[in-house]
Amino acid sequence: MSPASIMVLAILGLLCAAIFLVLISRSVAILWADRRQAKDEFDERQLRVRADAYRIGFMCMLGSVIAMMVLFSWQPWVDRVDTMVTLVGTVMIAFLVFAIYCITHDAFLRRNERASSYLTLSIAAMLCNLAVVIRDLVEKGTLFVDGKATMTPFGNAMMAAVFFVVSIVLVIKIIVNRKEEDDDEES
Amino acid sequence: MKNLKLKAARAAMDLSQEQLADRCNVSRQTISAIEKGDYNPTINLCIAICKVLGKTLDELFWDNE
Repeated sequence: MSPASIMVLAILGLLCAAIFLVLISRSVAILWADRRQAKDEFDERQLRVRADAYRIGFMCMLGSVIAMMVLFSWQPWVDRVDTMVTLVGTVMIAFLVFAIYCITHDAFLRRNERASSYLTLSIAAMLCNLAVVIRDLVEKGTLFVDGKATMTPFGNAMMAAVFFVVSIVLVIKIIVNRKEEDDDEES
Repeated sequence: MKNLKLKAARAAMDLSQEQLADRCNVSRQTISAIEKGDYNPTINLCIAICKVLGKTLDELFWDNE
């Protein structure tokens, strides 16, 4: 391995450690805030929306499981994709559908919770996974292990993509909500 | 159907959606959804809103048409 590659990996390692610390501290902060503001739960509309989101997410997971069973009977897929990647993929699809539904319907955050906390967490999770992907790309130049998509790094790339989408949806929702608040104050 | 009576009553008390939501223990988006007619609140929330705005259920939530 060349000195430049070692330097890149060292920087990535430090970056990962920093992101991991941010992730842990933000998680603790959110949990602490939850305990402190125990009365600030989801309101009635949010609970109804979340019930719909759970139902839709569950249906998506069922659909994904059926698709997974079909894929498992297809030999080229079995040869190229690790079982774990397919399994985690189905869970990720359900999580993504649930998260996007809740965020777009304003049922993701409890009262008095700040969207920026979840945005930080989501970006940190994305960067952590992205670091693993970049490391493997630098080291091996491919996302596949012996021509097969495995959890490391392909699963990490998948998770990075999921958290990227969640972050984007959160950012859009924050902007839309701020605009709504401004409009309300003006009128 | 939009609830203009609620919006007018809130404006008359010079309350923002956020302030009304805080007093009713719901999110701002829920008040916004009620005003837009996107969400039908439960009777408990209707009563909470009426108490904050000093109105009766008929005045805010009864459709005369």
